[in-house]
Amino acid sequence: MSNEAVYGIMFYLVSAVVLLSAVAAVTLRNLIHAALFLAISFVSVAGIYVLLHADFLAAVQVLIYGGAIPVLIAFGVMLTRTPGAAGSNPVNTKTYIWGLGITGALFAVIMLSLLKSKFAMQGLISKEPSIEGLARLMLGDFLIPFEFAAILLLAAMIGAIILARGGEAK
Amino acid sequence: MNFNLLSTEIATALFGSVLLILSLVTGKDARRGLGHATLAGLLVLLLITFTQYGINSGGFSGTWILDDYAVFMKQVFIIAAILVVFAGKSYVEDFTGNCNEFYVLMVFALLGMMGMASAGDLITLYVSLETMTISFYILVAYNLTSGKSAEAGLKYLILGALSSAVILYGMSLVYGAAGTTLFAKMPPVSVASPVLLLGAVMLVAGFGFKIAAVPFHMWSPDIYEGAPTPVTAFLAVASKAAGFAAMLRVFLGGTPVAPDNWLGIIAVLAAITMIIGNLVAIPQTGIKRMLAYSSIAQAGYILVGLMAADPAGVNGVLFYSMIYAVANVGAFAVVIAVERATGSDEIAVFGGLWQRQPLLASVMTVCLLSLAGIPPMAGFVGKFLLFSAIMDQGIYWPAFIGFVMSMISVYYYLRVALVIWRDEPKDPAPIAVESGMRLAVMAALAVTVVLGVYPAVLSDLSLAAAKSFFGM
Amino acid sequence: MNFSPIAIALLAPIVGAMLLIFIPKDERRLIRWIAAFSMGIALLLSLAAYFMYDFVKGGFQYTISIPWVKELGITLALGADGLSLPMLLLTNLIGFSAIFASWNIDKRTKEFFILLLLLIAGVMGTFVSLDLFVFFLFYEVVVIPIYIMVIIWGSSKRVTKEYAGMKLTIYLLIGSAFLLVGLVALYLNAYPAGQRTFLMSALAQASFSESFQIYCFALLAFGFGSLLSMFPFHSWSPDGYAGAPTAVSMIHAGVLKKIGGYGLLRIGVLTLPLGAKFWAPVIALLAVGNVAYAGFIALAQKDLKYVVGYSSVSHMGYVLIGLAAMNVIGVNGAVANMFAHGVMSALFFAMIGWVYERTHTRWIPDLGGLGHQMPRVATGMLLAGMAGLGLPGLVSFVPEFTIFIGSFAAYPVLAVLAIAGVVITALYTLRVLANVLFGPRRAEFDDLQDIKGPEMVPLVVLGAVLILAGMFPWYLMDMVNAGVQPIVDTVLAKVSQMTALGGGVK
Repeated sequence: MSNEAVYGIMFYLVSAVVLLSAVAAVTLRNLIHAALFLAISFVSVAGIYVLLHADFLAAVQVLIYGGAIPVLIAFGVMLTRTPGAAGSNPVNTKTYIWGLGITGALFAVIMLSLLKSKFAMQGLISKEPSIEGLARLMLGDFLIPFEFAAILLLAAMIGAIILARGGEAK
Repeated sequence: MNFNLLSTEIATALFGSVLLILSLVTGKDARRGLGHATLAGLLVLLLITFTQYGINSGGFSGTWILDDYAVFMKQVFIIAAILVVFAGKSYVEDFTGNCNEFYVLMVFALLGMMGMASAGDLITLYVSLETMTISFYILVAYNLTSGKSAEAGLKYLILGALSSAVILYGMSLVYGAAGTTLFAKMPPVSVASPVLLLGAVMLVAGFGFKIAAVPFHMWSPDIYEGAPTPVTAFLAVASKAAGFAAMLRVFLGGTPVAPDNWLGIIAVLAAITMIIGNLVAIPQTGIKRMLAYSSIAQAGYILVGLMAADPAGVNGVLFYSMIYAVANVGAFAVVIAVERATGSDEIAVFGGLWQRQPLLASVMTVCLLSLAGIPPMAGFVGKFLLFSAIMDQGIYWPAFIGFVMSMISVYYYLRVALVIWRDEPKDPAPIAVESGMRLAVMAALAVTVVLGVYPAVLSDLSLAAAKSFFGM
Repeated sequence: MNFSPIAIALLAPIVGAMLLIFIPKDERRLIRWIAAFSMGIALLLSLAAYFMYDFVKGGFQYTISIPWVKELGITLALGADGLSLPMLLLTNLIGFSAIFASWNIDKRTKEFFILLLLLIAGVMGTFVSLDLFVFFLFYEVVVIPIYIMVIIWGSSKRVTKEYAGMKLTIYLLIGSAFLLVGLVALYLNAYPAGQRTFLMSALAQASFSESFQIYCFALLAFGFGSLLSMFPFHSWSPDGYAGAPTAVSMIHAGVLKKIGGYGLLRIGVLTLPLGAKFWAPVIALLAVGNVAYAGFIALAQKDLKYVVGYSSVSHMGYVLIGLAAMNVIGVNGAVANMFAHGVMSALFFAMIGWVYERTHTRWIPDLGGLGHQMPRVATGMLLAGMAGLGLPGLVSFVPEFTIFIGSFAAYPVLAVLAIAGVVITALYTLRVLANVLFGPRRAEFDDLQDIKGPEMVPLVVLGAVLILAGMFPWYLMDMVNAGVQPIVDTVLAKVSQMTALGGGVK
């Protein structure tokens, strides 16, 4: 088997895992199960990054989305008072058809336009470790968004603390 | 690297951090002082922006653009923030417990808006947009003892995240097709591919959410109603203006899609936004919901200026953003005062306001008439600039819809005036207006009337800004 | 800057309104007299301007021009010619009378007179501005005071005053939206960017393509037409007048409506002659609709104000058909008739106001024999009614006669139909006068006081004008002719020239 064929098979395999586990995360009735599948979906996205030679991004994805976020979700589920895990993730089945129709149509539109377009970055895959380039971009060309992101996180943190602390009587 | 391009933003970030530290070290008794500190800081920021006119250059590999256009937009945001703080200070201080961080978050939201006005590429734009939006999620839910406020915050979070996702998807498609995130380097019209178009459509949808254009407007009435009123005012005015600032950068700064293609999308959006916003505003009985729908309609008028896609159109957008900001904050300031006095935001509680507080009654009437575009208020000049820009290109129908719908909008604006001037008050006790509020409403009144009678003061500035946007 | 009586006349009510802001609201006497005094100055100045007009020189006189927004070409330009001077005089005559017709208003007197003075100033401004933007500004400024005055001081009879006020406002504003699109189109198409101007004189010299003229004139005709209560856009007018307080009815029916005719002539016909030529037959047809339809409706009305409301719609038909004739005689008649109808309808509304104030009813079957108790009011009504049906010797005879001659030349069939409309006018006017003023003395009205003192002013001023202008019609007709002749000559020259170039416009 050629390299290309292996690459193709791997890509579709990983993608299938990403999508199926995402569907499971939405449809399963038990919130804990849903959270687990969400974590699987996140981790498999890291697989796609690996296939794209984005090694640093893959590592970060596993660390954060595979480690930190599922744990946070688990904390959230466990610490909030719920009578039982069964039925803790309600699914609205009434408007299934509509949702399916609309997403199907959107999918068709996106597919069509993807197939008909040429991409500027096609075939541009660097074999070097990406972390150096990332660092140069973040602290060079994209310094401003990088700094903005810092403020963004600060604002989000303040907000989380305020909302979590709740209201006090006057 | 030329850090002078960033001096407003650096000052804002510093100011926000200092405010944060101050709010931590001062006790609850110092709340009042913090409001004053915020005002002083914002005024200094406004002064700094004046030194930035005429720089007109880009930096940081093109990710940052500081032209007069950006400076003008930043002034719109800062002026809106100043008026909101003046008018809302006491309201905020009535909040429960930890209100100190309120101002901090407002300043960070302001910083995000500034970034949106100056962004030269998709990433900077997105990060600044999120800085603004996340600060607003919290501000909307800030009234922690009110269920309505919490509900509004949650709704805004979910819908806002959805719209951010749409924008991000659109951006990644645009990047994939164009191979660059810089607006200035977007490929020319001739090589526009389907993916680029799809990405642009998604961007329109995402920004449509931020500016509350129909059909992406569903969130705004609920959230405007539930949020603390000063936040509503800030959200309705500054975040909308920031959305427009960014939209102009994306669609007119580069050429992601052929103007002919997206003109159709924008035109349809503008038309239905003007029509639906105005028609749905008519049956509202709550003043905040009414103003929410009216501000949807206002977004429709501004979209017409975007549609013109030339300096005259951008001039209209800039001029109108400023006077819309002032008039709308003026109207919300009155709502804040009346809400504090009566505890309700129904239109009916405005009954007999002319007896209880003639100043507020006059300001409300003038601001609403300006929003309706009745001369000699500034709103008329703004609409004239917006619609004459598109008519100049031989396209008349948006102007028809715009003028007719704005005359229809007089119906619901005048209903408020009717309640204010005709009815006898249920409770004749005068409404107290403290000095900050007095200053805010007087400023709104003066600006609205003076710019209506003598618009050249502002239109000279906005025209220069619009020209700088096109590098002229 | 040279002395311009019209600028000061325009300023007088504005200054008066500003003064009133500082008067304590309990000083009702003082408030009334300040209002009356400022309108008196305006009236005297406009009389002076009228009789000092230099016929030899012609054109616009007493002009003032201050650049306002240079970048958009807006100029604060004022001036008056033979077309605007009668309208200016009319505004001040009616405005002055309206102050006295509102003499007994005790509810929020201060606000009432401030708004009334602003309203009068706004109307006056439209007639003397030479800049389209300023013209539109003044026009829109009057809308809001009218709305507030109707909802606070109006009366609810067949329709509530809120409904009447809103209907009036929305109709006028929607009309003005179309007007605005037309005006902006005119402004944009006249000259390329950079040389643009709103000055009417410059716009009149610009050349527009024929298709644009037809399109744009339709917009203007709709806007101005709905203001002039052109059939079928007239329904705001009777309802609005019925709901409005006396002074607003007087000013609205007397002068505000006439802005429609004035604008149509000054802006529509003068700058867009081919468009006017194209639409004139349609306007003539609608005009007959006005005369006949509104006349028949007036016959069936039982409320005094509705009768006069529909009659004013009907009279506007004559104005429209005169304008549509597009010859000097017809247009002369139309303009003069605007003046005549203004005086007459204002007098009528003033008298109805007094009747209503004393009897608290406007319902015709409930009234009768008022001539016994209130001879002065009866005289006023009689004068107004007789003028309305075109009695020779009163103001409207000459204008109506001129209109018929002018329009007969252009549209013989329609003109005959319109003349037949006079019969309807006579029928409903005489019916009203007979039922209200004559007949046996009724005991329930015995304790009613006739008007006296300041209340007499509307009767004396407007009645005197009715008679004097009827006896000496040349004072009016010469002035109107001095304004109309150059306009119509220019228009006809343009039309024939364009026809020669374009190969024939029917």
